[in-house]
Amino acid sequence: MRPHICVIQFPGVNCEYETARALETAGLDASIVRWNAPAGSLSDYDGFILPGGFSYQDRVRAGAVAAGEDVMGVLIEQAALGKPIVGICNGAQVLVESGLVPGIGAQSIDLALAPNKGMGRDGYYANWVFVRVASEPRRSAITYGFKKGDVLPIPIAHGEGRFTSSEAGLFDTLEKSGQVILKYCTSDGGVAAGFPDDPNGSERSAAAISNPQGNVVAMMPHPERSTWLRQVPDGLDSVWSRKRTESRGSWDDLESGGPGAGIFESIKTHIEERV
Amino acid sequence: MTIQVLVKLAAIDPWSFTVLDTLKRKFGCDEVTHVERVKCWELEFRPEAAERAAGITAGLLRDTVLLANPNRDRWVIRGFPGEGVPAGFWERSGDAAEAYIVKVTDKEDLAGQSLARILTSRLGISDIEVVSFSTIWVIEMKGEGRRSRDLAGEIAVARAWRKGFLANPHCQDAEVYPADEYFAAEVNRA
Repeated sequence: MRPHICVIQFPGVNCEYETARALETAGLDASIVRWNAPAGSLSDYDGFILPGGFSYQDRVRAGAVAAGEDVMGVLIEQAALGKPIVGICNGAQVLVESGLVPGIGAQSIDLALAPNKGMGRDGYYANWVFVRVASEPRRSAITYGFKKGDVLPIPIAHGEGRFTSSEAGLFDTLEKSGQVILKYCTSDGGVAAGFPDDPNGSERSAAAISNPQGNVVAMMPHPERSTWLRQVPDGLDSVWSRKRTESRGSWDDLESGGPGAGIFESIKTHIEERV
Repeated sequence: MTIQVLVKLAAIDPWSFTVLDTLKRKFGCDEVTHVERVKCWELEFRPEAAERAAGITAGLLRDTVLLANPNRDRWVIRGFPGEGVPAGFWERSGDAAEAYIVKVTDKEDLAGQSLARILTSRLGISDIEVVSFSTIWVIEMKGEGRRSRDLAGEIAVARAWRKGFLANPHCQDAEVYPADEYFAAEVNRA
């Protein structure tokens, strides 16, 4: 039986359908479920995705209003059972604002996803970037299919994606415990020294951070926009781009897995091995 | 010398309704009766430019939409001796016993820095040293006394799930004041 993932649809999200398609392509079943579904109807799912978009129009602060919803209370309980809960972009903001990530205290809010900085202006930024897998493969629900050090081209699109904290030493702790799962990097996997390799000024160039158990992950990049090879643009300094260029004329090749497919395949493996 | 421009929507503000609804339904703050959002620009003029401050600010509001949009917003300018908030911009609702403001400012005020850059590099205005931007949330409550003050403080800073809301302390600062006092106070106190 295929694991069944619940894609939570808050008002204002806009990536739920492509996220569900990416999950199905990876061999999972996916249902898009409204945020106000009865709490009891959610516990049968094997995992949860909070997709990208603009929940509640980013009012007050991105993710802050959605984080207060009853469904997040359900996710806090489900996270404790070890089920994977992955927030993508706005979903990551919701997980951070609810305290599920980094999840060190009892839902204490230890992080922020602050406005982007470093690009010479404030505001929204959308582009393809490179991320490096910074943790061991089995450390988190999204990295089973990768090796530490793997480099993926992947799109980002956000105005508030800078992982930061006012708690001194928090990022040392997160790095030591392997909770910094993905890091922005150069195309060859080198350290992102600044914009545009590090597109938002994130502490330690963090692109994805997990809870201590690794089953809850807040990631700013959009794997559902790089799930199929046809989504990868020509011209990136990446084997994926070259592969895409060579695939012209072959629909089957273009429909094959892109760099983000492994994220969803990892969620499937995580469920099969751990939940 | 600091000039403060307080801006709010001329029409009903849906953000304020979202905050009110969230506070009442999700945070159990039944005492909260009304919420308003006010954008707050603070323009710090060089001392030698004090006499030009009023004219420059009026010009920015008249000729640009950098601080406010006349089709959408209304505003007051504060910062001159004796100037509080004119009647009609904010008045406590009849059913509110107390009102507090929560002033939220990003620790790295990129909006303020961005406007400062525009003023200098694009408009050639060199009389303004610093621009800062904050969001002021006016929280009206039917409770009184210490409980209201404590509640305003609790609402101000998000510390844990459903404990605090308006500012994330890892990227924002929050200041809490009684609304009457804040709006009556002179911006440039000696």
